[in-house]
Amino acid sequence: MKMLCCPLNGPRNVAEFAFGGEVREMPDPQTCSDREWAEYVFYPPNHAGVIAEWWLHVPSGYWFIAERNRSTDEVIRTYDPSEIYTTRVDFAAQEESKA
Amino acid sequence: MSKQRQGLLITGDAPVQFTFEGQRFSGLPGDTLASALLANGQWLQSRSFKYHRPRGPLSLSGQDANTLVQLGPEPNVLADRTPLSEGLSASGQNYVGSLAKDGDSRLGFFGRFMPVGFYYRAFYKPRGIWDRWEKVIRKKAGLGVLDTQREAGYHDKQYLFCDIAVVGAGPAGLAAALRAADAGASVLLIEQDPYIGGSLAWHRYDVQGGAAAAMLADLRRVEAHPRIRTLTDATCNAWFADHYLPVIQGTRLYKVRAKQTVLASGALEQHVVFHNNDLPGIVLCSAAERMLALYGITPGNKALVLAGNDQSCRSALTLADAGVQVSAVVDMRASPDDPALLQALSERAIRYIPGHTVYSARGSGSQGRISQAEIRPITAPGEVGNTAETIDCDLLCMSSGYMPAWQLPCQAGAKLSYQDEVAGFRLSGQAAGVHLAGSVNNIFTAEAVVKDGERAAAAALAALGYDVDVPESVSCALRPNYDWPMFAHPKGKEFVDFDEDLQLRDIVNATRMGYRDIQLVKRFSTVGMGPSQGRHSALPTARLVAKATGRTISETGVTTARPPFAPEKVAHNAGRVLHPYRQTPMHHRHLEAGAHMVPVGDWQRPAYYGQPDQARHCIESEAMHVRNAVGLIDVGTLGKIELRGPDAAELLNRLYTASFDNMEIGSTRYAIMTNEHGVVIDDGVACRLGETHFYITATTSGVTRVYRAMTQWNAQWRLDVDILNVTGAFAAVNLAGPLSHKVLAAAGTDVDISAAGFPYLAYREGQVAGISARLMRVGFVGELGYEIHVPARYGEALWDALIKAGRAFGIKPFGVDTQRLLRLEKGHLIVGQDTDGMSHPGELNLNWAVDRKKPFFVGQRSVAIMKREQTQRHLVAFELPAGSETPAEGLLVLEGAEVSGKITSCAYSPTLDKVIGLAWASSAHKKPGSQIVIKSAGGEPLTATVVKLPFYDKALSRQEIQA
Amino acid sequence: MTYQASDFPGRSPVYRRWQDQPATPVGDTLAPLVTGGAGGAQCRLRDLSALPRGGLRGADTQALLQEAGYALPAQPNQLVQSGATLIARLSQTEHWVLDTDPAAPSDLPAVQAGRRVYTLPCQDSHAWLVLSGPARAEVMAKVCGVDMRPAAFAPGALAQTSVALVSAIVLHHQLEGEDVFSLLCDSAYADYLWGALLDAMAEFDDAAIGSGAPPDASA
Repeated sequence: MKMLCCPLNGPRNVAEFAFGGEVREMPDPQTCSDREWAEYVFYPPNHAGVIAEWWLHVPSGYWFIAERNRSTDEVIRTYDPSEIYTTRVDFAAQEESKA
Repeated sequence: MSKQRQGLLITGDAPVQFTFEGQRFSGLPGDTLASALLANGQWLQSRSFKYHRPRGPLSLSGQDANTLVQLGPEPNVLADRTPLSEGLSASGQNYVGSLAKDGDSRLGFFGRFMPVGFYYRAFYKPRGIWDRWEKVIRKKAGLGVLDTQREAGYHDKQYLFCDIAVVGAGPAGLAAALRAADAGASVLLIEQDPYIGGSLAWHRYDVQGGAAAAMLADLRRVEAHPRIRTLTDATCNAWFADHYLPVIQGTRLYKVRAKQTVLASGALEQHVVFHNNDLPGIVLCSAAERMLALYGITPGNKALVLAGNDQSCRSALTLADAGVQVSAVVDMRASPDDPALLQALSERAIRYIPGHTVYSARGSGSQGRISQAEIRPITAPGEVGNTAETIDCDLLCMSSGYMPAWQLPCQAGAKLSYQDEVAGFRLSGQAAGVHLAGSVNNIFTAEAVVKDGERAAAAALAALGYDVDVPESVSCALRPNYDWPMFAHPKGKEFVDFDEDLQLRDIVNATRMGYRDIQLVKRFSTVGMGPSQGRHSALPTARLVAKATGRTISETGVTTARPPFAPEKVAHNAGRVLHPYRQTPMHHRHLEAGAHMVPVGDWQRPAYYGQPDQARHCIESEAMHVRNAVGLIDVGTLGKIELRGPDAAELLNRLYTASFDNMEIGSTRYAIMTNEHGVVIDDGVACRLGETHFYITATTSGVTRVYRAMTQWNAQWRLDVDILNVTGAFAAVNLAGPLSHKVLAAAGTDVDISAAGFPYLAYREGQVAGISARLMRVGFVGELGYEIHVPARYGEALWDALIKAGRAFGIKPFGVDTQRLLRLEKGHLIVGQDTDGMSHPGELNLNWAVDRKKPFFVGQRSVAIMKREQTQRHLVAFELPAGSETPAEGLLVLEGAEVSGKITSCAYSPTLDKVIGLAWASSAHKKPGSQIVIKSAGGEPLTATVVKLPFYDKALSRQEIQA
Repeated sequence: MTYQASDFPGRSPVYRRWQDQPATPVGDTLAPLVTGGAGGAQCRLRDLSALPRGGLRGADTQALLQEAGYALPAQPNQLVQSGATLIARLSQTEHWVLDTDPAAPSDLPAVQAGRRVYTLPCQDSHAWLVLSGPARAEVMAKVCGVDMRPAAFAPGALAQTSVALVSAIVLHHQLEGEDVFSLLCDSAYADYLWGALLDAMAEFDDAAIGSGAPPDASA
């Protein structure tokens, strides 16, 4: 069984983790086109090479990000999400005209 | 009886009685079944797969299929790996009649009518012929008899941790283990054989003899080394990523976690391909050496050695020194590498015949054992001259060279390349942290092997951060492989693959049929597909296919060697079967009340109370009891999540479709969750305990997903809120029915439970029967009811108190199947049962629960897009009159000939005396009064009427305290 | 006197596994006697679920506990033992306090409004089992993929991992003078885990369960 190195708990059997999908930026759901939204929801890029992925260490309930090469299955590094999500995210109120 | 056998593995002299093929034999402690049979002169131990030819041990080390026997209920047991035990009873396999007189051995005579790819080609046309032949062939195919009733017995698994795992306890592995452990690393040494030392225990490494024993004496230091753990009789069956090694020993599968791996897995001695090279009594040189050294068996009276290297010449010396009359060494080469061998052979009066090969062999006697070999001069690669000499013998020992045990290295990413100058494959390019040592690395002299083991260990130590010098690669000038040890014969039966009875021409013919790729040759011819997985056939096949297709042997290669290395049992993989289960604190109360328990995910829940053959009656009477009196159900399996912090409401706003900002403290709200696709993935009740404190219930099966979604989203949003899954921390019951408030009052509570004090959908905290509780007035089952949550440790006491207080009101427990009926009557859907992976709120008539004006919720955009689209389908409620059949859940809803939906829930309602249900149907039929057509189990159409929900209590009065 | 678990409102999730053994009240819950250690057995399994424990988490947890005088582990996944009290650090912001002496429960400091500290219902969410004896690491190796040999998992170590396929927190600490593993698992899985551990222990001679105290200790 492969090992995955959790930033909080260290190297563990990959069975201790749950996959949480690719790290992606959500288009602004209020201003993007239907097409852009559909691309975001249904067509993740799924390219070969290094991508950032969400992983959950299930026993500790800890989410982190792993950079993994999808071609070689090599994990380049893992880190706490606060490295890239540094500030609080807010959503603007809907304009009346759009509602 | 001659003098007592002495062998490394023979541990005593008390005879061990056993039977083979019904005949009684006697062996010694330490024997394997195969060695004990050989000691009794029983060379015939099996019948070959296709032609039922008589076979005896080839490698005597479990690396061939010639010793597969039936051991009691277990087929395909390797006799040369089966320890002898008192009373053991075994028989041969794959024969009609008996092993000695196999009725099917005549199949051999038809061999020429069964060319390669026979099955594929012969039964392809005319259409349908396979169906007729299959039964006959299936009966003939396969080995042994499986007892399907047999219990596998106790097998389990255990992790083993070490710094460095060393696979193979031959000289390379022993040297590597010592080097690593002396430096301070913890070492796990894994050996397939029951002894350590590998070939040092039986092979003669020098002309004089004695060097191996001296060397092994030194290396035995591993046995007492505090940092080396040695597993013998243990097979490492794979190399998996990150140095994860499955090692089978007895009934246990060790899951080895190493930081570095040294593969000292050795090399497999190779046979020579000539006519009748499979007769009992024709063995690899190493097998004869093992017989002598390990078991003290004299392998024959008159031996012939067919040599392809100096190792086999030394085997001849060993045989002669043990008293075997060796007629000659027939050497395929022109001369030995070590000239001293000529002198040593001559001293023992052994004829040395260079430049010759055994061209054919003849067997005789009841066991078909070899009695004569015909030798001829080699005139060109694979070709012989016409001058023939026949030599009598009862033992033929052969060696054409070695194939590195490539299986584990290749699983670790190594590639094989063939090197003409050594006429053999070399491994390279394995994953970081995997180090090859010894003969698997094409190092063959004992001194060099030990050096190579130490080098590999040093490399592993350096990778672990030890300050060590890593020596240059070790070189070895020995060239033990003869480059073309294959001699075609007009009568064939020159076996390349013993497992599958494949002859020279079978491989060549496969290439002529157009199968040029080694993988295709394998699949068409079945070469390498037998139990020994190409251990002896891969090298000759690569050579043959390369020559036939005009490519290099490197280009041709060998087929992929996937795990497992050796056959393993399903029981080993299954191990100790662990089925985690979760129980609520009231679990034993349910059992005591006669509950029929069902699994819901890991949870165990009461379906109803009573016997399964009375299920419908139990469910209906429990339901009527809730409607008319009072019932109690354990809902502790409900997911429960605590949200605390200034952004608790904001997190809910973003994850659920409703808005939570304006919720009053002490109230509850139905909440549905959608994913980014706008699909409903869970529902529950949100309770507001304080300005910054919410308590959420989720479905039993959905809470894990809900909790993960909340925490994953908030890892991005960074809202100021704490999210805690408290599912197991709270026990919960739903006390439901018109008398429920009286039971609650009788149990004792400080909560004002009057109609005004505790209205529908309110949340309260207080004591119930002296236990701190959270109470909700929710109506999932459609009656007055109280959901009561208490800390898990008090769950059983709460249950006891409510049952006791309810006795005066006739309280009865009810199960989850009953609850499903009650909620259906009330028209409540169950996410996951009534919804699927595409159901959005509009289809489910849940638009009322969606706040489209708030800034954001996950799935909001998708829900908005779908709301604009014309909805194709709808979840509708339908009724059938009493007396109709109750269509099963899952039956189809038809629109003409087209399928437009299916039934998601359906039951007979005793309260309404009707059949009611929910179904997906075309949106055209969503209006009450429409008719939908259900295809019944018998195929006839059933017409049902679409109705408005709820089925029961349309006036919504039942959820209130009845006057 | 002899107690019945059902005489107490609080009940351990595995009380039926030891209800024939000597026991003593701990608060409103009955607990098996915990004296006696492994008592020479290769491995022993005990139930400490009735003993007091609690947890706090949130950004201000560390400060709050330090103000209350607790010595805290320097890193996540470590524990500090002070007398009969264990302070386990599960993450940057989460600490649990467990008391092996029921007579001296630690009172966690009160949380002032506005501070980012949230209480955890550890007493109910998790069962507390103790595996002791010299074979404890070998027993764990049959159900857990983390190396728990002393060299790799010394006293003071903590692992949040999977034990027999269910999530658990394993603490290596001292109890009555011997090194033991405390296992904290979802209380709903406790009966399952108890059974899985017994199965893993079965190959060892003298494997024992329950209090380990002589029968008359209940008097």
